[in-house]
Amino acid sequence: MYDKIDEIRDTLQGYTSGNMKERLPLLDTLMERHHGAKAAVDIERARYMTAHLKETEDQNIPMAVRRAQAVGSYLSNRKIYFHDANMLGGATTGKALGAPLYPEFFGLSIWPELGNISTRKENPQFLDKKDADILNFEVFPYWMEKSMSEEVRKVDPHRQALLEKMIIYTVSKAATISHTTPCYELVLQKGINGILEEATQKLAEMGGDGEDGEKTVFYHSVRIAMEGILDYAANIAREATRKAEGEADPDRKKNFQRIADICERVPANPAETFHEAVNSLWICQVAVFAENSNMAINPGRLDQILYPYFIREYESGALSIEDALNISGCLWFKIADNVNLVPEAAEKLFGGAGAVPAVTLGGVDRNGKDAVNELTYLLLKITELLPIRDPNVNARFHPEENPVEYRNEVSRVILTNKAIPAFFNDVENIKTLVNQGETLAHARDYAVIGCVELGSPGRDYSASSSIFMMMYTILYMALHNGRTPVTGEAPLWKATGDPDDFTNFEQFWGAYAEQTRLMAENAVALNNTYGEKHQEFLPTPLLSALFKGPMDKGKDLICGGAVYNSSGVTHIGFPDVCDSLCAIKDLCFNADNTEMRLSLAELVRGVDNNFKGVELLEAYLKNKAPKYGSDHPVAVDISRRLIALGYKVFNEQKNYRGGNYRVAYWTMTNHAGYGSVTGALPSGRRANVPFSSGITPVSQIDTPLTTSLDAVAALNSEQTPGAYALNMKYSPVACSPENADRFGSIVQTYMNNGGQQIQFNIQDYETLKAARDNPDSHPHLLVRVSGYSAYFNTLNDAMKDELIMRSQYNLSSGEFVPL
Amino acid sequence: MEFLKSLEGHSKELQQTLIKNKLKALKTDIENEVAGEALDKLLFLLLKAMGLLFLVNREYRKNIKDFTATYVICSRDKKIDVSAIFKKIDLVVTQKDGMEVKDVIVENPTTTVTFKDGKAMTKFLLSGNPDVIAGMLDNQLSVSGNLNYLFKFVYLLWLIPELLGINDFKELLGHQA
Repeated sequence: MYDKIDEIRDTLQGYTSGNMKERLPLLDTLMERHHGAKAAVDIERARYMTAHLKETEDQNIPMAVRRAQAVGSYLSNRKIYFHDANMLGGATTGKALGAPLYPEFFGLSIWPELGNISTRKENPQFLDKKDADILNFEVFPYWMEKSMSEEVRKVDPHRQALLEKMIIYTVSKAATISHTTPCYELVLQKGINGILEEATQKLAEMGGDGEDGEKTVFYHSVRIAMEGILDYAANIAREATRKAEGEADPDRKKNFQRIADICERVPANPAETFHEAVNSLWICQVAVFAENSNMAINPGRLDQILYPYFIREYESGALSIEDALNISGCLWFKIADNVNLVPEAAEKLFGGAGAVPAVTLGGVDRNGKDAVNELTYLLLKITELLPIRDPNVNARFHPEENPVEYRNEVSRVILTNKAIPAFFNDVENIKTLVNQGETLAHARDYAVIGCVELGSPGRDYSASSSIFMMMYTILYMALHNGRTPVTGEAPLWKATGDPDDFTNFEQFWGAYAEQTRLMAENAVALNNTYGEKHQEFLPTPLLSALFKGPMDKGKDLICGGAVYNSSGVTHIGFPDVCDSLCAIKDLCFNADNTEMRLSLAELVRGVDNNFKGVELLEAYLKNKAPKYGSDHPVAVDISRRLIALGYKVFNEQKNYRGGNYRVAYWTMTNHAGYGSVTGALPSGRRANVPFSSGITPVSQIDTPLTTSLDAVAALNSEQTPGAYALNMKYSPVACSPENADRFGSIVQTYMNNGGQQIQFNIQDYETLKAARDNPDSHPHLLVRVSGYSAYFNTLNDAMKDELIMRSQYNLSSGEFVPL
Repeated sequence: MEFLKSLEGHSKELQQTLIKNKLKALKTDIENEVAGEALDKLLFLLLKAMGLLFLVNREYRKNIKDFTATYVICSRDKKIDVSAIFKKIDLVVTQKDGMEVKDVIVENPTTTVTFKDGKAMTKFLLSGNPDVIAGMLDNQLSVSGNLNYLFKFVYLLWLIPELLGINDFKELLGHQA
């Protein structure tokens, strides 16, 4: 095995971005089309789903069957599109870059924008008048009382109202069933026909009453959903045949014929070739979007899943490297064919995001052995050649098992395209998943979900973005006797003391911990209510059939059918809150501090006034108070305690499927959005300034690179099972073997010290400032945000400024480069 | 309601003419209000115009076919109290889907929007791009009740300037900015 690695790596070296036009002209053309595509709202699914659910409203059909019928009806009847010369059949929507609308979730939030969404300032999404009228008159009215948030409001209006305050906690189940990785291997190996047959057999075994009745409904709904996928693929084949017949251009004709041949066979049957395997996987991904929203549904470990098909054909001579690059590149563009539909204000928080489907490469196999193979390198080459927003490519690295050549190749790709992939540490990530109850073999097989989260693919329905905890608000509550900035004068949950009441730091820490616990309890309660409403109204037989567990148990994924049933909790503002707690300890409760002392009440007054009139205090806080990311003992202690606290409060909770809450620290663009609408902090951060991203130390603190990395690596990864996003920025350097090796060595040292994840922007301040000031000069500049990639120009102003402000380091010296 | 009552006894055609005349007057009032500084009547004027537009504009009325809902719009400083009630409106010989405005808070509304103060409401109304979520995020407004009803309401509200033929509304907004 793997004896072709050197041969294939040699061949791959011949492909560069400079010769794409000559050597991979199809991918070059698709790249141009990708960058030229404007996002457009697609309402086809919303129409089908709404029409079917309306028709069956009073027919006493179990919800799982109704949903399966609605999804099946859409898949069976939706129009077939070929947007370009892509070698794969199937498209997420009818638009080249489509934003599908999910009315059962948050789709109605664009109602006020129906007239202007095409021309709005922040990331316009085209919607024609006819479609807007259909939404206004046909689709939206049906869902006014039925969207998830309204179903939840009926049973828990108070916590739902707190969610809508936006700065306390958010629960993403209002918008999605997602953030998980299906087991596409099942389809590649058995075909949809195999799953259909299994469901039929299970149905035949059912009795009909009680639990069997529920199982019967489940298997029946699986059958309906699978038949929808078969119809969809058959329709693609039919349409491709028709197109081929009418096509004069021989290349295009051949492409249509090939798509027709492939879609006649897969995903109905097991895949036999690499091309079939890739197209089969893609059609299933499209089908999942028919049932569930297009957020972080992940293809998974593609270099492992597709490897048998690739190597068999390559070795037989039936597949050339060029063919494999073209097919893989086509998959990349297909994965990037959709974006989320969000109202303009949400662009403030999530602006610039794609659908964040994560692809995972490298790492170890289920036996703990090196899993890097020929296809790993080929997909890394595609990642290098196609610096596009999606997929979100992640490279697992096991310092003891994976070769240095692989580490350096990943490093070289990052230095080349300046942003992707991200690095993940197998040692720490496997350890933390085992601590969550996954078997060692399952943990070793983890795939990255969405931004940075971890989960065993096809086994863990991970719902990894379930809760967002606003750490800034927790701190505010601890400093203001339980009040929040948005819920009036009374304590929201509990009075935990005015600033004057605290005589030592431990007392204040107790108040902070108590408010954390209360916020966690309330967020969990609301998330669980949403989960129960999902079970009632949004069964997912299609996605369930693509997992291990539901078919054996006869139980839907959202009812606990998967092998593992975790939920994820991420935190916004960790670095800023950590620095604030450090400052409070240092200034208010440290008898040894002779330079500046003041009471907590005085500090709070200064912060609440946004440091007006107390500029000396602000300067001290910014420049002299202990900072996370340094080796100051107070900062080291507080950062570890904060991480331990987050783990403890959520470890005591269970979700509605009986699973754990996995704590994480990634922020997408939320840290910039929320920072821009919240007040000052005791860290010296002024009001309305972006928070630091993910777990990344606050920017522009003069700390050497290694110190900063050590501080993050020292955090206990068992207490961050959902992982974190660490964003680092290096000054651009040449992509020489020496630089790639140095880059890789620094990453490996960080991992050896315990770091879980790290991602990079290879940019300097000047380039990013130039891109902000003159967007046309850098039209497709790809950057890492906090867990995913985005085009710089599509980010909101706050996020652009945050990226510019991020600390820049010199790769050679490891020194901080000031702005 | 007083205006609607004054229509009683007139023919359908005359009713339409009187309503259109009233809308013309409202258009002027709205333009003057937006061009001025106080703006304290803007919401009320827009809602009155909305109610009348439902009576005379069939396309606009299609938006509220069989729609019943009650909205309360108020402010935390208690200076704004308006209710908009969507229901069938009796027009002597016929009944139409319509909306009635009251300058008091009615009980059991479907959705309540509470602005921070009159300034926040004005900012929202004149934003040129009414964004409920942005308003919530900036703590300029809060909503209790069904959010989807508010989304629909804002959509209806923002069709008014165009339907009234206020072509230079954006320019007027620029003046406020």
